[in-house]
Amino acid sequence: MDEKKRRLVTNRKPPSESAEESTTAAEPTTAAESATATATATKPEPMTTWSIVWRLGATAMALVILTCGQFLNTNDFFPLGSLTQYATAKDLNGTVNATCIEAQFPGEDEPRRLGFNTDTVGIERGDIESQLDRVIANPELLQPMADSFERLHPDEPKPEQMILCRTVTQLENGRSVGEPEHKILATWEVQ
Amino acid sequence: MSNSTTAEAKVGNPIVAWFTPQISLARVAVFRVIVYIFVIIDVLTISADVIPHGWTPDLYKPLWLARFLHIPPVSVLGAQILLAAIIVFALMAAAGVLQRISGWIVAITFGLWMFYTQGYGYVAHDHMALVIAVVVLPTVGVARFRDVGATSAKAGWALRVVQISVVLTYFYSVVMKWIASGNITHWANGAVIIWALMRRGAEWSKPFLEMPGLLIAGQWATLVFEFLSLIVLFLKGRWLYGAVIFFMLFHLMTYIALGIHFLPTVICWAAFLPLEKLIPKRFAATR
Repeated sequence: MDEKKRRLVTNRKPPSESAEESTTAAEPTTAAESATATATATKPEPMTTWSIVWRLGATAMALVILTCGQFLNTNDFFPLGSLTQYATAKDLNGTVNATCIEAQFPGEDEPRRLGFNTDTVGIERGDIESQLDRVIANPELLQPMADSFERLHPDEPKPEQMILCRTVTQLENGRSVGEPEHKILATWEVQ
Repeated sequence: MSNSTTAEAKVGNPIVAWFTPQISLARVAVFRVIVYIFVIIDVLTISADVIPHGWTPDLYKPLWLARFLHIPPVSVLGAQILLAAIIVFALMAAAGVLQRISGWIVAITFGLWMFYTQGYGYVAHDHMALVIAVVVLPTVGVARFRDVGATSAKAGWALRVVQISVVLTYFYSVVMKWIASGNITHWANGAVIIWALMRRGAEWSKPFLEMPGLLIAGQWATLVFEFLSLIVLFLKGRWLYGAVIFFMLFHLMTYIALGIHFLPTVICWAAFLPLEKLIPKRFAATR
């Protein structure tokens, strides 16, 4: 009785009817299709208030966290962190830095440049670049890379020293000039 | 009982209705196949660094949620078990077997896998929409291929959330460029693409380094369409398909030139499409 009175007051159709209407309006276009859809369709149940509230609440909360992630410029809230990839402006007359990893092997004159990836040293360049200060301050963190190299290359000699380095290319009006400069950021005697 | 306290009345609210549209359950069934099969491809290729991370626990740099939940660094064995669990339960979830349980187990195990791929320094942004898709899909409940004619607002909310995550991946990246650069024109007139090409560009794309003006024009174009990405949420029909194709081509280009594929976001664009049309009518109609 209450339900009927309320519908009259609010001038709304009962949930099953309005839902069916939206089904037929959204999907089938012909009478035949409509008949098939009605035959196969389960009438959508209206969502409960709680069902709607938690969904909208979660959406709003996620949007707030994601927005804060941007303004606080932090990746810490992953998957709702800042979208910083390629976000920093680069000066057309600045430098392009790329971090590199080298190893000194026994009996070799010069350190050898290694691929900075999981297949060679067990970790990607991007991972180390994202915690570069920590690795420079704690060069013992180069030890796991030497261990990974040894594990992944059983036929190669064990490195004596790991060298974390950087190549610096100077730009002038967006074009590179001269040879890239090579800098040593940290070294570690492999144990 | 007053109007405003009933669920039915709330559906009448246009904002609520926009967030919870009635869509075909079969669309979710198809989207689920795409997402869960991709999750398997992802853990075996794009985010396969979790097993090597088992060898480098000292480099673990846990993210906020991982710290909050006291998630320890991954071990090699732990990573292998996690990988096996993801593959088994993702296959079940894709096939629609024990839908809720398999979906939630994938959400937990894949979420953990994400903490272990992203928790060693570098955080990739192409996974936002995919992680959110994996989390919201189990909330839909049972969705079958034959449910072409059955609609659900729960399904509508789940796919809407994925759509929002997809476009915000682009829109917020413009916001971030603005914040990180201080002045957005510095970013657009700067050397970001030059920097990216020098660091990881394909050999064929190196000659473009001699054309900084063209690359700057590319930066402006990127800014414009990333800024306009929100509009896609309100497009329909051909305009929507056109927008989806445009973003696909953009990702194809950055993949060819820079090796940046953004596939986890790319597959989530499927949430914009009427996927139920892929189901043969005969199959959809039989019970």
